[in-house]
Amino acid sequence: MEDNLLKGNFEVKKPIKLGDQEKEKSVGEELKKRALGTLGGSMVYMERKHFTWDGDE
Amino acid sequence: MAKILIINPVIREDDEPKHIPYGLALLASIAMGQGHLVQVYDENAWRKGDEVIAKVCQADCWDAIATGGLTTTYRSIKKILNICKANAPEAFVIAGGGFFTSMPHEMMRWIPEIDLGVIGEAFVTWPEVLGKIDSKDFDFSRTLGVCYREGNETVLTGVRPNIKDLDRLPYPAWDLFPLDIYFRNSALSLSEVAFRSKRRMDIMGSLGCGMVCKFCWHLGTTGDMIVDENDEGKKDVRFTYGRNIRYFSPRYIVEMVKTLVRKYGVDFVYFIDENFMTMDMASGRTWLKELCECWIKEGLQPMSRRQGLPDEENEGGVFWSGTSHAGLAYRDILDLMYRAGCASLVYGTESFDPEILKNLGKGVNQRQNIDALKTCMDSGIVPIPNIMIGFPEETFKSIRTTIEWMIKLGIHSKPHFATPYPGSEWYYTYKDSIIEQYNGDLEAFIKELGDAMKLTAVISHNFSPLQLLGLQQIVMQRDLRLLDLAEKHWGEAGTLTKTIAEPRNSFNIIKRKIQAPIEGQKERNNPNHVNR
Repeated sequence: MEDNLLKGNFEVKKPIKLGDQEKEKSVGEELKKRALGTLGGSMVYMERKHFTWDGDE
Repeated sequence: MAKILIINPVIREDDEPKHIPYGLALLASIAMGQGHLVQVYDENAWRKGDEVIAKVCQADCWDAIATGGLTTTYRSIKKILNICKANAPEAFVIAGGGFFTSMPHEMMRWIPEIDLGVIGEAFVTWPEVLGKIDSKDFDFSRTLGVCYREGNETVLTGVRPNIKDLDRLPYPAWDLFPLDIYFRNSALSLSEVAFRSKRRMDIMGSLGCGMVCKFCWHLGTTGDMIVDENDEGKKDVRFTYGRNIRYFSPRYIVEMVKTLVRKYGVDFVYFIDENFMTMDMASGRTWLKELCECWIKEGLQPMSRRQGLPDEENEGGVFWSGTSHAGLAYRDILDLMYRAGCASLVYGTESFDPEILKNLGKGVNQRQNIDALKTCMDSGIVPIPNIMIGFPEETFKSIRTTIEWMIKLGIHSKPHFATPYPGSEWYYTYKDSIIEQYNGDLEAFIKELGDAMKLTAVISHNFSPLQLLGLQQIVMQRDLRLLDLAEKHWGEAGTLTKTIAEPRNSFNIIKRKIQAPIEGQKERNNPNHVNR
């Protein structure tokens, strides 16, 4: 796997390596992507962080 | 020399990155050829998000940051440039490509971070702009093919003439992109051989298409664009039926593919040409024949095709695919293409209804649409017929005709929605209706545009969004019973319902051929009323 996120014809002052970053998306992100791609019938996805109802009603 | 950061925006967020951006790779190559210092960050491939984009911007002192893409990358570009300006405020921001060319003044307004936009073909404009940045000359008033800021105004210059000889272009700078990621997504579900591909790359054989399909647009790169003063005295882009169709020589293409085989071991190339097969006609039926013969002669022909074996048993050679047109399905050339390794051809079938086809500007009728698919299949090449619904003239009858032929021909499709992409004749014809549908917010429409599987603005005179969504499902299921039932409970627009889409004339579209400039053309023929 290529390591440099920036690729060019010179060395940048602050190279950005893949290893320095969050290498992989979290399981939650991966699950959301997969689930949204297969929505239908019993395949439903609910947002984990966008729950706006505060329970007052 | 100028230190340049090129960022590839995200396209098709819900899909894996499958296509190395040919245009940006070519521009990177041109910039390096001029001696500039270039780095590429491919957010579409990496998809690392905002924090990494910010780090990329801080990785060096950039003289310029450039990005571009189709209109469907607009959302990503807007976000990226916002991050760029915040993290590299000294960098001069350049944008270009289809998203910008179709509506330069709006883009300058919606993305205030853009310092300069490039319209149309950038092969000459891009290095000229970089040269000026390198020499700290930021007066672009005499640079063709750009849109710059002057106080609170945005100013468009004249159209840059197309280059005449594509063979003078360098190969794209593929090495600046994360090829491992793209190779991982090599397989395409277009044909069995494409599905098995392990190392696919895209190439471009030609620029342009002579057809005048109302849903299509030619990016202002193919002689289809002029610049003129509008009613308010402001220069703006106008799109016409004019074309400067050009193609690389067969030798150039074959040598490029041989390079791809040697350097990267490619087993499949996908021609991203606007309409690959129309070059057969544009060249007087010589170009495709020469390309196939050269492909075979130079050893790129897959072994299975050479020896008449099943493709499953193939070892070596390069399969390929591209786009086609139903009016150009000649058995002789299709047979030769098959022998050379052509695996599939995408046909813009769109509809099987005679009236819709007649009004579409494609230059094909129902019979040609049907025959082309059979002729292609008989040659051994897999036809991929794209289907669309929601045409301005769409009716239950036209949908029924399309479903009936889909059943007869064995076509399974979840159809695209007829979508008025900026730059297309449909866009300008229905712009007022689009704005009305988005409550006056045109940018909201642009932000929503994807690959037309999602319903955005409606241009159907007869159907509402609700009905079109249902019709998409019915076409996918090829269910004539449901279609009959839907028609029984439907009210004709204008009686029970109000027509959503209403056509109008527009300054930005000229429905006739106007010759846009190309290198070597005499000045008196140049229709651009611009200061030079």
